[in-house]
Amino acid sequence: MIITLTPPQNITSIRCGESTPKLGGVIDVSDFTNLQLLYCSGNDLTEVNGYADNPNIQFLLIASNQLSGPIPDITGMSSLKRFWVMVNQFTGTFPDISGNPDLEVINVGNNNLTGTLPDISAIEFPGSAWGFGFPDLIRFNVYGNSFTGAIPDMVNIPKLKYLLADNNNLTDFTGSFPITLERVFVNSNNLTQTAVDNILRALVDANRVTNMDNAILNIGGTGNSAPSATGIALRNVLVADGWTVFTN
Amino acid sequence: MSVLNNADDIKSGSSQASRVYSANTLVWPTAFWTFNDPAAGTTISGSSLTLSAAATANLGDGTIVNMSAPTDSIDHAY
Repeated sequence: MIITLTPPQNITSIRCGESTPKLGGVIDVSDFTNLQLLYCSGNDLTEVNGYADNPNIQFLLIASNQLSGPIPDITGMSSLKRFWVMVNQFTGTFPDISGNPDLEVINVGNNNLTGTLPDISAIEFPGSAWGFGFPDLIRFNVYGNSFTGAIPDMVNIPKLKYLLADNNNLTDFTGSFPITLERVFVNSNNLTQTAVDNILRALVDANRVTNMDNAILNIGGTGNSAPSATGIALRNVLVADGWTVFTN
Repeated sequence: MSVLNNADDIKSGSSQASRVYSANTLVWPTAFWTFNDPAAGTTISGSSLTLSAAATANLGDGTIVNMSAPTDSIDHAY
C-alpha cells in the first residue's frame, strides 16, 4: 500500500504519527524540496530515503525504527539542527557533520556504530563568525555503540549540556568542558585512569556551581578505571559543588 | 505507446488523475510511505502536516484527504 502527498513542494513538515500495529515500510521524501521537519520515529520503518541532500531540513527525527546500513552522508543538510537516529540498527562510522554548522542536537545512541568519534571542536566552518566547533550544540549522544578512542574535547562547544557516551569502548579524554555541561554519562567504557582523572579535572575547571539539581557525572560502570588519589580529590571538589558523581 | 513528459493536469475522462502507473509501478506522484497491506483496523494517529498551500493525501485504500494550510492531519483507520 502507498501513501502519496501532493504537491510535495507545499509541505514543510511531516509528522507520521504512530501506527498501531506498526506499519513498517519505506519513507521517501526526495520530492519534498521545502521540507523542514520530518518526525517519523517509532514505526518500525526499514528505510527512510531522500533526506540527506536536502538543505532545508532542520529537524530529522527518525528514531526507534528498523533502519540499517551506514548513516547517509548528511553534509548537504546545511540547515540541520536536530538529528535523531537513535535506537535503530545503523552500522559504520559516526557521520561526517562538517556540513552542519547549526546542529543543536545529535543523537546516534543505541545503534551498531564503530570507529572513533570526530574531534568536533576542531571542525572548521570557514567564513562563520566562530570558526571552529558547534556554537549551538547542546546534546551529543553517542551511547550504546562500539566507539573506540577518545571522548572529544568540548572546548569549542560552548552550550553543551548533555554528553551521553556510556556503553562504548572509549579509552581516552584530553581537553575541557564548558560551564553549561550538566549531564555527563561516560560509564561502562574502557577509560584509563588518566582519562578518568582528566574528565574530573575538566569538570572542576569548568566551575559549574549553580543550578546543580541535574548535575550528574557517571564515570563508573564496567570497564572504566578508578580515579587516582588526585582524581578522588577532584571528585570531592565536584561533590562539594553540588555534582552527583559516580566513579569506580 | 504514449509518452508523458512534464505532464500537467492529468485526467482520465473528466476526472483528475491522482496517480499514474506504468504496469504495476507507481510513476507519479512519488510514494511518500510504502508498506505492506495493513491488517484491518490498523490506525495512524498523531499525524500532522504543515502546509504552505493546500495539498492532497491519498492514503492508498481509496481514501483521499484534501488538506488545508497551515496544518492538517492524516490520522486514519484502515
